[in-house]
Amino acid sequence: MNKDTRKPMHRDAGDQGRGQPLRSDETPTIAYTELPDGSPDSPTANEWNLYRREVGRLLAEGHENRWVLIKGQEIIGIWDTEADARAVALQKYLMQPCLIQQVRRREPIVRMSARFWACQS
Amino acid sequence: MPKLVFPVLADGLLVDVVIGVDGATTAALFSSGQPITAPVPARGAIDTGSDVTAVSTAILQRLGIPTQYRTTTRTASGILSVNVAKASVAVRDARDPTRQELVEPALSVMELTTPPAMVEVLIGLDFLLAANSCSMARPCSFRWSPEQGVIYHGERDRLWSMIYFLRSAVPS
Repeated sequence: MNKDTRKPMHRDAGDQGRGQPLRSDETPTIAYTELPDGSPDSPTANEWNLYRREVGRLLAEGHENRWVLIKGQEIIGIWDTEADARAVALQKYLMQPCLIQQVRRREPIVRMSARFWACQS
Repeated sequence: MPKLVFPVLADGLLVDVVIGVDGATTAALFSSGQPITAPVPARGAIDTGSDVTAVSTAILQRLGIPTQYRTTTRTASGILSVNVAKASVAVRDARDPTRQELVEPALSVMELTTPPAMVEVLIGLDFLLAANSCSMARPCSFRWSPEQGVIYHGERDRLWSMIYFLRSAVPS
């Protein structure tokens, strides 16, 4: 007979998290080759779709983890930090839509609740 | 110890929030002589099911905050790319404006295109964990008390800040 290895759920949950840092490997991701289209009504749809087309090249050129600034159909530049990219965006495109995007091989998928989706048209 | 106390309501863990233009944009507007729109007070709900805070499109448009980032999220029908903007998000007690606020001066927020009338902001884990200064190097925790309700607490700028949600009436 198999030994019953079940434990009370509250004990498992408590033991699992206690004193342990958040594990980055628990964040789901998607490969850059599978990034979805930008919705056509999005103010940054053009920029996003340009990023999707160019991300493979940017990765091949060694820009992984750097930050790219895109406006319209043009890559304005690539910087090491978000702050640097944003500073240029603020200088050139203050209060205008543009795309500041980290170049990643795998894009994290953020989790949003049913309450959030109930508030989306 | 600065702390904010809110009642638990039928609509959830509701808080008073103020949404504004983020700090870097405010500085850029100021230095270029452009007008700065006043922050917008709103009602928010704590939403621990969401990783990212979301703000109604109407508020972002009123503030003139543009989309400058995108992120990917999963829906029942697949992966979507969604608009993200930078905003200043503060949780405060509107009944007592002299109380200290919990402020994230440059938070990446998603758009809520059709929020219900009562709630225009969903406060996600990014705000709550930032208030706790959580990171890989610095794990954090939250407390739940069946008698008292939920307590988020954390250290920011050497000050301890807390948000209480009480099941019973708010103490005077």
